[in-house]
Amino acid sequence: MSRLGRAAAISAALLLLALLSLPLLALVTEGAPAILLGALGSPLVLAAVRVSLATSLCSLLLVLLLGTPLAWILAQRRSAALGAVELLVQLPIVLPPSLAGLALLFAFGRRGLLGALFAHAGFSLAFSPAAVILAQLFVASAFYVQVATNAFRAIDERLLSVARTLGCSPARVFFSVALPLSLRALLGGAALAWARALGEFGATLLFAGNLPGVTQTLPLAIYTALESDTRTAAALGLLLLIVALLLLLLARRSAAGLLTRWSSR
Amino acid sequence: MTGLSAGLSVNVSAQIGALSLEVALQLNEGTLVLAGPNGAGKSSLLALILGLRRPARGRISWAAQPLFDAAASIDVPAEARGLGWLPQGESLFPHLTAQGNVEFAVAARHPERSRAERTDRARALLERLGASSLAARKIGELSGGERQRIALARALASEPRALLLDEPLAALDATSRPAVRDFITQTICELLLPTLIVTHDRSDAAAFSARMLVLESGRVVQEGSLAELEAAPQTEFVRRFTQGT
Repeated sequence: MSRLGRAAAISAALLLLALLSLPLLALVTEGAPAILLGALGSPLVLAAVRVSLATSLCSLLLVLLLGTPLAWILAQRRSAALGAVELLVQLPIVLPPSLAGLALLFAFGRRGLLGALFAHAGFSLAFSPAAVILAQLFVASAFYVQVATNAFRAIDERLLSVARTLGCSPARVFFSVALPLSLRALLGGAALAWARALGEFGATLLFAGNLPGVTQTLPLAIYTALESDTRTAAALGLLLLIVALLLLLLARRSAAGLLTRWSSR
Repeated sequence: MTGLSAGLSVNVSAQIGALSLEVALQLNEGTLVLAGPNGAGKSSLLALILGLRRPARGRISWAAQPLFDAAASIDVPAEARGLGWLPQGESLFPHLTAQGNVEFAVAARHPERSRAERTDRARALLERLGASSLAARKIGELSGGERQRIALARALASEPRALLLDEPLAALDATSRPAVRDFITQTICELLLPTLIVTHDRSDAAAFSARMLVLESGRVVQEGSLAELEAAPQTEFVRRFTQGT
């Protein structure tokens, strides 16, 4: 019976692994020859790479600048209100991206809550690179904030208190104790957030549109290329897969490094 | 408490979880040992004095200068109280070397000093405490006794006017304990720093102290020399403590 059970468990595991790896393998077999034949040199691809890099780096910067203080506040205190804030921050992780796009459109679109105000001021957010950045920020910030909050919470409270008694202001405690102690974890969180921003599709499509050279990011370029040129789509797909894999490795290394570093104490 | 006497005057009350703390004490030159059972509020009392927790009522002052005064809404932040602290257990910064930890305190107290000046000051302190050989070591490589030595050097580097040591020997094994105890008594004697030491060990109390304060359930239950406490223990805890059981 136990032998049968083990065989069943192994079969189930292998089946899942096959279902996960076959599509990726197919992407490699389709994409690799396409890349070698120069499919990444097309203007569509180059424009999409440019838009993706520019927007995702902007959104990453915003995530770091706005997310780090939020994570620090969430880590330091616990209250019902802050629990609700944490839930709000995490929500985009489980929301369908198309819903996120719709919500962004309702808020910042031409007829949206704030969009009308923007229109009065003479500019429109929707269907601009700024909209791409906003969509990426919306879906990606949770990944960073969550990791950063946990990293800050893991710091021994005594280290922060002792720094205060040594003469450090709260700001100095943050920059000279909390930040260096959690830097690796923050890097990992940033890698995850960046990967999510680079892969953003649904929210961008609804809120920012699919304008080549303006709002067409790599995932949107795959979608466009698929209609006319499967080879380019496959090449783009493989490119994104490689970048995503590298970012995931970076995130995992940061997390593992954090563990081994402090367990040696 | 008038706060006119030299040294640290404390008269505070606070509600900490289920414990209601109400303590008055005076720390002048010399050493005061604070003893009491687990949960008596010893560490919480230190946190109140250090400015890491806020008392509900009362007053804390250094000589004539108020550090906290509920009635006058004075609450000097922890970084400006000038009180050195050795928390219970591990407290060195693991991302810095031994010397880096001491330099950290010099830099926090004197941000205007150059890097070279900080290094010199840290080296001088380590040498004075006989810990020069540990300077370049990572915290993970230090023994318990060596860590306490560095932690004390770091506390002194911030030039405190008084020291609060929370069970400085508790984490040490029996072999390194006497050496660290001697080292602490010698250092605070030389520096003439008013020092409050929390301990639950009779032999430590005997080594450190001329005066003792016993805290139980947030209240001071007895005060005096170890000999006086031994002669006339007023609670079961004091009786057991002075007998060393």
